[in-house]
This record gives sequence, C-alpha cells and structure tokens, in this order.
Amino acid sequence: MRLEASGIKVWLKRRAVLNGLDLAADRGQLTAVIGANGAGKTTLLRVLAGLLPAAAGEARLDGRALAAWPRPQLARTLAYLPQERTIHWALSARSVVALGRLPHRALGQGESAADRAAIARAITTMDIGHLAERPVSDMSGGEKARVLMARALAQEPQVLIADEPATGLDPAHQLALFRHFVTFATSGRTVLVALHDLSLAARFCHKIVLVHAGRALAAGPPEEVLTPPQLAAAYGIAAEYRTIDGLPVVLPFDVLP
Amino acid sequence: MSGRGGGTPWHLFALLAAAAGLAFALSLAIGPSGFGFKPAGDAGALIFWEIRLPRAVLGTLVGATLGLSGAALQGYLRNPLAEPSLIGVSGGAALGAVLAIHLGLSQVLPLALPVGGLLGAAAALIAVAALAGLRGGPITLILAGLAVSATTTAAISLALNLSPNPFAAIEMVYWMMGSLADRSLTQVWLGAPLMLAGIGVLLLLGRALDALSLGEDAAVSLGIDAKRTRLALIAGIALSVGAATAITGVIGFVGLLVPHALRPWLGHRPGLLLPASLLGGAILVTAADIALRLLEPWADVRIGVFTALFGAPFFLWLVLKTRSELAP
Amino acid sequence: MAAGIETAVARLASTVVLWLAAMMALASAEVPRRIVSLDLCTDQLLIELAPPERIAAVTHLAADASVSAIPDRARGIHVTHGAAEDVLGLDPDLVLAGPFGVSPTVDLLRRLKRNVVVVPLAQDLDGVRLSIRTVATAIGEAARGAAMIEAFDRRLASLTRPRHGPPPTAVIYQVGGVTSRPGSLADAALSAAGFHNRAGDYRLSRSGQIPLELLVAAPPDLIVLASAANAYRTAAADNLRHPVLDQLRAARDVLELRWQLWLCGTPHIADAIDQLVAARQRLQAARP
Repeated sequence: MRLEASGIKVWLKRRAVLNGLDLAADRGQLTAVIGANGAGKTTLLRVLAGLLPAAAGEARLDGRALAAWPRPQLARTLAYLPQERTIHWALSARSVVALGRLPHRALGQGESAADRAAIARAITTMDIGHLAERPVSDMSGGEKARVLMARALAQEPQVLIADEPATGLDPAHQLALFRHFVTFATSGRTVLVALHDLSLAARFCHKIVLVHAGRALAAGPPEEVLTPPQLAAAYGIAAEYRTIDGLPVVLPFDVLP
Repeated sequence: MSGRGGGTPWHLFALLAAAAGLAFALSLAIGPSGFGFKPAGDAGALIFWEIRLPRAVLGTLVGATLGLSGAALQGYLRNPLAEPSLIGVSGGAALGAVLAIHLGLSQVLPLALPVGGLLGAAAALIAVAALAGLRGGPITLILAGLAVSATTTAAISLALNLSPNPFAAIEMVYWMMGSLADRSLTQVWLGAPLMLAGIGVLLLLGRALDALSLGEDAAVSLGIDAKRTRLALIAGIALSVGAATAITGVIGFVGLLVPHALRPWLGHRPGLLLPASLLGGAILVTAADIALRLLEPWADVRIGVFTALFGAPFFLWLVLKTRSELAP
Repeated sequence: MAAGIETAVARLASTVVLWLAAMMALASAEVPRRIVSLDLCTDQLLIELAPPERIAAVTHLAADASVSAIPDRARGIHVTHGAAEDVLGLDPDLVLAGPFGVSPTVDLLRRLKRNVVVVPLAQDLDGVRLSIRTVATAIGEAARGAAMIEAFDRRLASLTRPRHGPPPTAVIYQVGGVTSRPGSLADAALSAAGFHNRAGDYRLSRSGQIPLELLVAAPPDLIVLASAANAYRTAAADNLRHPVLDQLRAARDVLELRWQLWLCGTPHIADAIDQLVAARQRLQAARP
C-alpha cells in the first residue's frame, strides 16, 4: 500500500513544525525520513500513523484519506513503533508480542489459532524464542528492541512505521534490525523509518526523504539526496557520500559556520 | 503457573473464586450472637437476612470495587502507587456523600447519597488528573493525590463543623475510618446498582490497559480509543468507588495491596489483573471484616483502621522501592 | 425531767441563733451579679436557679432544642462560645464550667484570678443533687437550690413506689449504637424507674456501643430510643434508621425518650423517670 502525505502542516506551541510537507512511501520499499533534531520527523511519522491530525494538507493510505479509515481497520493495516521503548510492566516477551494481535481480536475474544501462529512466526523471525518467557524488564536494549519489533510483525500489517528504531543499539543489532526491515519491505509491504544514522539510511533504504524547515528538502535514492549542498542546508555540516567496498557511507567532516 | 504464557491461568481464578465464596459464607455465619446461619432462635432469621446478609454482601461488593478500581487506576496510569484512597478519590466520594446528607438531599431522595458520592469521586479524579497530568511520574501523582485528599478532608471537617447536629465528631470518624457494621439491605439496594455498573465499565478496560503497557501512542495505533478509555475509567471509578464510599466511609489501601499481591501470578498483565483484583479485593475486605468480628469482644476496630494498619507500612515500603528505582 | 427539757430548748435556741447569724452573714456577703456559664449542664441549672438579670451569658447550646431541656427559657440570654477573650469581655464575677472541653479557658481564667467553679458531671441521682447544690451555693441561691432538691426528691418518691415482681429489662439505644452504660446517669434513671439495665449484660465496645445484632438477638423488654431517627442529618444515625428497628417495634415495647432530659444532671431527669415508670406500668399490665 502506498502511504502519502501532501502539503501537511502541523502547528505545535505556535510554531509551524511541518509547513507543507509532501512525501510518498511505496510498497516493496524501505523509505527513510532524515533531518536534524527538531526538524519534525517524529511529528511527521505520528501524522502518517494517524495519531496526530494535520492542521492542513492530507495524509493518504492506499489512496484513501487517513481520516476516513475506520480505526479498527487502520490498526489491522498499520503498525507503529514509537521512539519511546518503555514497556511499563514486567511482561514476558511473549505477552508483549501477543499485544500485536489485539487489532485482530474482537472484544472478549481470546487468542485464536491464527493469533498463536502469527505470534510464533514473529518470535521466530526476530529470533527471540529463547526469551519468550522472560520478563522484558530483565532484557538488554537490543533484546527489547527485537521484542517490540516482533510485536509489530505479529500485527501482520501492510505498513510499518518506526521512529528511530536503531537509536541506542549496538552495530550488530542495528544491522540485524535493518536487514529485517528490508526483508519485510521487499515481501510486499511498505516500511517508513525515521533515522539519525545517515550511513545506515544510505545502506539499507531504497528512498530517503530529507526534512528541513518543515518541508521535504529532497526525496529520492540515497545518492541523490545525500549530496554535500543538501546535507549542508539540512544539517549545517560539511559531509560527503562515499562508497567503500561497494557499501555507501556518509562521512561528516565538520560543522559549518 | 505464573501465567506468563498466552493463556489465562484458570487455576488461579478458580482458587480466588472459591476463596471469595468461602469468605462470603463465613461472613454470613459469624457474629456476636453466635456462629451459624441461624443464630439465637426466633430472631435468627431476622439477624441473618437484615444484619448479616447486608454486611456480607457489602463486604464482598465493596471489596471487589476497591480491588478492581485500584487495578484499573494502576493499569491506566502505569503507576503501581495509584489507589482510590491515596489519590483522593475516596475522600472526594466521602465529601459528596457528606454534602448530600447535610444539605438534607438524601432525606428527600435516598438515591442522592450514592449519587453524591459518585459526583464527589469524579470531581476528585478529574482534579488529580489535572494537577498531575495523566503522564506524570509516580511521585507527582502521589503529591497531587495528597493535595486533593487534604482538600477533601478539610472540606468535610468544615461541613461537619457548620452542621447543627451534635454528632459531628462521631461522624468524622465514621467517614474517615470506614465501617461495614449495622448496614441495612436498603443501603445495599441503593449502592449495589451503581457499584455493579462501575464494575462492569471497568472490567471492559482490559484490552486498553494491556495495550497501554506500550505507551499511549502505540496503544492508539493498536486501535485503542484514548478518549473513550479515559472516560470509561473516570466513569467506572466514580460509579463504583463513589457509591461504595457513600455507604461505608473510606476504606483505604485495598486497591494498593491486592493488585500488587496478585500481579506476579498473572505475568504482570494489567488486563488479567482486573478480574483477579476484583476477586482478591472481595476476599480481603470480607476476611478483614470477619477478623474484626472475631476480635470484637476485646477490641473495637473499624475496618478502615484495619486496612490502614497493613496498608500504610506497605505503601511506605513501595514508595521507598520506587524511589530507589528512580534514583540515578 | 424539767432540767432535760430546759437544756434541749437552750441548745435549740442557740442553734437557731447561730443559724440566723450565719444566714445574715451570708445575706450581707456579695452575691455574684455577672455569672457566665460555659457548659450546657451548668447553663440549665443557672437559668433555673438565678434571676435573669444576674446571668451575663450562657453557651449557645442552652437555646438549642436538640440538646437543651429548656430551650425556650434560654432565649434572649446573651450567648458566649467560651473563648477566654469573650468571657473576659463580659467581666464576670463567677464562671461556671463543666469538666470537659474548656480546660485551657478555665486555666487562663483562674490565672487571671477569676472565680471559677467546676461542676462535676453527674453520674447518678446523688450526683444530680450535688450539681444543684454546687451551682446554687456558688451563685448565692442556696435556699432555692435546697428547694429544688426537695421538689426533686418529692417527685422521685412519688414515682419510685415499691414494686412487685422481677424488674423488666431495658436499654437506651442512641445514635451510633451507643447505649446506657452501667454507672452512667442514664443507667441511674432506668434503675430509678424500676428497670434492669440490659446494657450491663451485653459486652459493650470501648465507646459504649452495642452491635445491632446483639440487640436483636437478646432484646430487652423495653427499648428506649433517645432520638427520633430523622432528628439529625448525620450518617452516624443510620443505625436508628435500620429496618430491623421497625421489626423490633412490632415485637417489643419501644419508648422514645428525648435525651435532652437525661443528658445533664438536672431535675428534668425526673421527667425521664416519669415516662419510664409509665412504660414499666404498661409493660407489667400487659404481662400475663
């Protein structure tokens, strides 16, 4: 399904955080949203997840306005992984993953066979089988991130939106997580992530949207977006896009005056 | 059998239900005029139906209310220190009830009493939410609750002070240290429908509370209606705790103790904790009331005092534990 | 024989003379002219023993019909709420106080060299007489006090004629489940009327309360209700509104006896005893 934003404007505390932003994320692709701190990445993702209404402009999912989607149907179609990775109770990993099935369960209905199968698949995919009965309060950051990702997978969504999923993870976990994202996307879903790590974005994402001053400064394949003038404009840094052994890397050299 | 798996721990629920039934039966059989369902001859039936039955029913219903509302508050606020009496909701209910009585409303319309409690509880809950912010940390919530409690206590004292009746001092004790003694079936009929309605509303919050474990944004994205959940919580607590407190006075700490005790047995799942705390609360209050009646010849302790005796030290321990967890 | 009579007459004459002298001495001494009462019980005795122009103030309770036996007689008398400043402002030459509730005020007044008389709480009929005598002597109306006691005794004597048969049982049941403890004034009233106070047989709580269940399980022959169920807007009176009491009314004799009559140690307790005696006579007439 195609996730689109046209002319999105959002005001928070009398400041125009998003000022006419356009974006399109397609099926089969991993799309990244990048930008400086406070550029509005989280706000944009929340609007696209249907959590925040836009003051102007429209967000559309599969051609239909997001506001027109009935909530239960939206919950079955779109999964959102917030930046906040707190799990408030010492639930077991399996219980957390099972939360992803809530949109598919009617009120008062217990877990069906389909639910159990989806949960099992998600656990296997994220390789947390050995953690299933452990409380999440005992887990490391990387383990918790995998459990939360498994929750999103168990939801069996068509669209996955993740806000800074790699922050705080060590390199091994970052690579593993993004490989999962790519697999998920290329199996016919739409994945939209917000990131800080430009190299990670360059390496794994099919498309990058660079947000600056409340608008999309650039959108397209990594090498087209991560150019020195655009990076200078958005981040205020002197940086270059290189490839090393075929793998793309963004090197920030210095802060510009 | 810790229930961390996907299933419901049916054994635990069966056990709790059996214990609640046993406590109820015992409550019907114990009293100052003798053990058994038909004590003391001719008056036996009268005692059973008019005195022991209301007491047993109230103990079970009020206990269920307090246990459930504690679990619901904790689940919604993601805060193990939340409890109706600690955050001023019971105080608000008592104030509403006192006003209903002293303005003469309850004499004209008996239903005014539990409705007064309901409105007072709702007002207190909204005040705490406004002061603490629903996403405030645990200590903020307690501070806001303290402020609201202090205000309601002061207001009750004022109302009683201004009241022309000579029993103001006794009445203060009546409200602040709840009691189940000598209540009538009439009072049960007044309060039970509201309590049951509140309980029903709160029991529906299971899914929402489970989803809220991941935070409000994730919960909404899982299909939870945040506004409706908040409304249901306020309505459920106001109805159940409001009516209960209007009839028995403030019985505190049940909503703190019961969920905390049962949580590990349910894999910490807030949704399952709701019905479990309902049963657990019923057991705790009924059992405490039975213990009081056994103690009666030697000490005249009110149930509110009894629960505070156990609850207050527990609460202190919980605060210290939370503080050490929050400490850098 | 004549010598003996002569001695007796002489002795009598000297006693009379001495007595007259004492009375004259007393009469010429200052009687208090601005009397303040700080307690409901002393209020009532004061109002009935002293002429109104000598009363500077009584408490607000004296005119409160829910606790005072003589609210009408207290109307028009200046009211004080008992604060030391207020009392001093009245410049009293005598302050009457009860044993409870005003001890800081009493201490202060004593330190300021005011004449304070504390009248102890009457716990039985002798206590009533003592209260009357104490107040009367303090305010300089010993004669009126003696007359009041005399009238009280006469009335009691007419009420408490010898009875036959075992005494019926009774209990006074109040707001909050409180009953007439043995050794209290209420207990004394019940005994004087010829009842056995059942409260002594039950196990009462510390605050003198009885569980409704016990009252129902082992009811006395007469239940005395000290207040009407709806007399006060208070949740503490819920026990009086319990449906079980209506059932008890049907099965047993119930007397509504205003507690204003026996709350304080005043002669009005005789009215209470009067009503109790009438209830006893009804009971004994109904007995087979």
